[in-house]
Amino acid sequence: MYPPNPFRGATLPNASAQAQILPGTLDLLILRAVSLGPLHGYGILLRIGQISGHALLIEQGALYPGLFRLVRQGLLKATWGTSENNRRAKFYELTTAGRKRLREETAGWNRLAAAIASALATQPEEV
Amino acid sequence: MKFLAYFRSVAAKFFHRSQIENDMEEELRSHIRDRADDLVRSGLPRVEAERRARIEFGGYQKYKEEIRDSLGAHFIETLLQDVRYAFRILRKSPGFTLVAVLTLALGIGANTAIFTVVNAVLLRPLPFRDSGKLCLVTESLPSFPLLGPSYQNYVDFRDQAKSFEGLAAVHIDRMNLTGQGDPQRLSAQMATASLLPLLGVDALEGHAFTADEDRYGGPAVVLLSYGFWQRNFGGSASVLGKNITLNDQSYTVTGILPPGFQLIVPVDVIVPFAPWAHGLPDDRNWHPGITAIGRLKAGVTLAQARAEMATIAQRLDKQYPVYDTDMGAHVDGMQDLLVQNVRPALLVLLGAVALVLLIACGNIANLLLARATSRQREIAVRTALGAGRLRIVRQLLTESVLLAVAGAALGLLLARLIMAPLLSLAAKTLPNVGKIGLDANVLAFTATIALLAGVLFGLAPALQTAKFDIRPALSDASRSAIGGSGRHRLRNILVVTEVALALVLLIGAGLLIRSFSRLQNVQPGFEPSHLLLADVPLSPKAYAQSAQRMEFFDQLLQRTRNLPGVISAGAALVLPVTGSGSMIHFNIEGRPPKTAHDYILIGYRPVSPEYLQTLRVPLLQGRMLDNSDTERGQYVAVVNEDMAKQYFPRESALGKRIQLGALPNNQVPWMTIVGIVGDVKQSLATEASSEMYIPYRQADAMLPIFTMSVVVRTANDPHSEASALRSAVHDLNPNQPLVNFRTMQENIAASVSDPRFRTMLLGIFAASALLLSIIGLYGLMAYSVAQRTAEIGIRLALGAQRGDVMRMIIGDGLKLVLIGVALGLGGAFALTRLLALFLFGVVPNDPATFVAVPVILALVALVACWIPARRAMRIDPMVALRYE
Repeated sequence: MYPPNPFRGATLPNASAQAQILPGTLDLLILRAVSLGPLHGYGILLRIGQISGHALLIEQGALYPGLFRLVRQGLLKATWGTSENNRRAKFYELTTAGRKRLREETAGWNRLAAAIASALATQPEEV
Repeated sequence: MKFLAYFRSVAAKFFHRSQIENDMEEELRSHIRDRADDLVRSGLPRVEAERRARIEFGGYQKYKEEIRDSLGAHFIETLLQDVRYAFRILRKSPGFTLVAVLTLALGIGANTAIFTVVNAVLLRPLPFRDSGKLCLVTESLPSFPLLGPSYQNYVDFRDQAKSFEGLAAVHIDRMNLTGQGDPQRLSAQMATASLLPLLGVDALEGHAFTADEDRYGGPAVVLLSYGFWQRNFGGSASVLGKNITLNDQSYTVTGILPPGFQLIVPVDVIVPFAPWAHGLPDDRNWHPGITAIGRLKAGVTLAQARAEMATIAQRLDKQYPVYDTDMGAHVDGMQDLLVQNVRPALLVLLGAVALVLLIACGNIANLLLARATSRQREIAVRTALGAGRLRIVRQLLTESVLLAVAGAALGLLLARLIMAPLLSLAAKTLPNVGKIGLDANVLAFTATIALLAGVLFGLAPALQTAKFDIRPALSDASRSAIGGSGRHRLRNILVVTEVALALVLLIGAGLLIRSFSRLQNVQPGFEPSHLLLADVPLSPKAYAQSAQRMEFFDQLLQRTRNLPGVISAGAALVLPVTGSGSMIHFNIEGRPPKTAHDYILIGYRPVSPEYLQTLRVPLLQGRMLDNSDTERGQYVAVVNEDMAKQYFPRESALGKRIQLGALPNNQVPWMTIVGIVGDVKQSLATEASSEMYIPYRQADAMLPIFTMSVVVRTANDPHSEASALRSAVHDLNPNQPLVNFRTMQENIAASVSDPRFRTMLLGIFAASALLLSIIGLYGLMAYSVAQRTAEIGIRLALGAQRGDVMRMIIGDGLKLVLIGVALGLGGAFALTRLLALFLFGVVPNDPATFVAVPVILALVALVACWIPARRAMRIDPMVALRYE
């Protein structure tokens, strides 16, 4: 068996049980993953798979534009270091602004989830 | 700071490209390697593992590109995204978009058109080297606030003033061109040799005047304007050194002026100044129309130059006590002085048209607020998906700026279309300061007002829209609770403001229209219909002798009288209702002036014997001039009523003798006053002033007359006599031009072209303001009725009468209108003072206008409220209640 694949490629069949990731939420997941300790890109990917119960579907490469954007926004800090298998790797960690953003986005997400749930619960005759 | 960061990242992108690229490459590759390692560890062969790792990674190049984008062009990227999104949104509601863009196009187009004129006339520097340093030096007399200096004073100014690099002079005139087909009347200027170097203008071909050419008895030379050179000589360089005939004198062409050259007015030919100045009388009180142009020395301010000229004027005052008494010398920026008459009107118009744009913005803001309701859900979803409030506001602002930009593009097109009619309406109102058209300034102005307008009408709705709490917006049930009082208040404020602004413009326009109609009803003092006018400029060379000139005019008038359809014909040096005239000093027999303050200056009107009868000016006392009043008979004058009353208040003016010149002089004949006629207006807007009519044969003996205007009273349409008049002149002298054909009524209309221009424009702006504000009010009322359908339904179901509902809606609307009217009246009271300069026979706070205009506005507003109110009245309670 392969090791658990957190983001099975979109080209693979049998994606029905997995959720297409909503735009804007990837950043939230990255921030969350990094909040548990500095990670390099591949590590973040594994961590997201782990914390989301492998329920989300993205291409692995899609992680990187997000990472660069978060660094640019000052939410993540990137430093070059050595990985566990002794390779040069870029490690990401949360900045203070990133920690704050994570808190806000989490609250916002919870609000949205409640709202969507309530919207979906609306019966047709109410519209 | 954000911008700094943005530029830093752009710079980094260029300068450290390879470093960043390498890092990125390394990071991505190590990801794929890590993944492949994991796959190998799980039992896959190395080759297969690497293939699978690459597949799982996805589009390698695509992600690299995305990373680069996120590094480099964040700001622009977002902007483009917003613009694309805004395009989609606007395309989805074409009706709204069309109305908004058209409204803006009208507002921005009108602003652009007016600004184009303001830019060309008031802002653009004159087309001369360092033109800010160019000044005009003028004189003032106690009876005249501003006039060009006399030649003698000009020479003293030139020689004594130290403030200027130089002082040059030009006289604007006309000359007859003969020997090249039909005789032509050219726009000519007599310029000192110093003039063109002072302006920083050089001849395009040949050379400008030398000092040797600018002297009496020097060679007769002429410079041609580029346009005249192209028209008459096809731009051929061989014309240099050739001769042309001006006023029957041969002039050698020595130079061609650069294209576009004009000085105060467009010019065809320039000849030297000194030969012309030589013919002027040695009289410091003789103001022949000299424009003195100076260039301030570096470091000399206008105030210093003014102080110096004042000192020189005082010195001349003492030196020549008879003539230069109380003479003042003034220095003004050349451009300031040239545009001073038109500046106030243009600024008022620019202000008015800006108000129209404000009202248009108010309307669009209201539309946006109404749309905001229907967009709550879209906004709520986007907020939920993580868009911050600022991000939403920015997106909404992008939409409104996009609307404004579309409006501006269309507005520019519109401005181009209305420029031609606008300029023909402006006619001679605008000074000749160069081409009036779109340039970089105008484009920058349009872009600026478009952005400002976009932010102005977009900001409040955007802030309101972005403020929603998302949960009620997403759960649909609370629809009618949304759009709460805050937004409603904002919409009300907008409409109230629009009404107030419209009222200010309407009152301003009302005042100007009342003034203009009073102006048009002014009686000029004669019968202006059925009069044909034309100017006959005799050349001083061919008609050097007085007898030749008088013979020509006598014969011309005689032939004209005999033409079929002609009732009578006369001629005068200066015609009425042109706003200009010539004044001359005179003295009364037995009442020599004691001091220079007693000098008398009145209108001087050499006329043919039948002139006053032709105009049908009423004779009050004595007799009219007749054919026996020649240079060989007794010298006589007919004066107007004003002159008789002012100078002979307690006695009859008849039989009194007067003399030209400020002081009695034995060399000058005494003229006996033989008749008193009614006053004739020299300009409709001013009271008639004192005038004397002198038989032209006698006048010519005192001061030679070369140009007369012929006045022909016709039985039918005056224009139909034009060709007969032309051939009468041609029969007498084929080389004699006859120019400027017009009827007296056209002449009068031209004299009020300034007030007509500003009245029409302000009227158009006020009408647009009224229309826009009423549309705004109607939109608000209709929207509010639609929103309140359920409430009205309940009221009706509970027993409210339909009339009550109608009164309620109309009452709500009128409340807004009345608040707007109250504010507008306050604004108008404060602002109509600015119009005082343009009013005639009406005070700025004219009660009739201040009552009538608000009443009219309220009536129109009533109609705008009545339509939605009627709809509210007809609401079926059952339908309304089910609807919700």
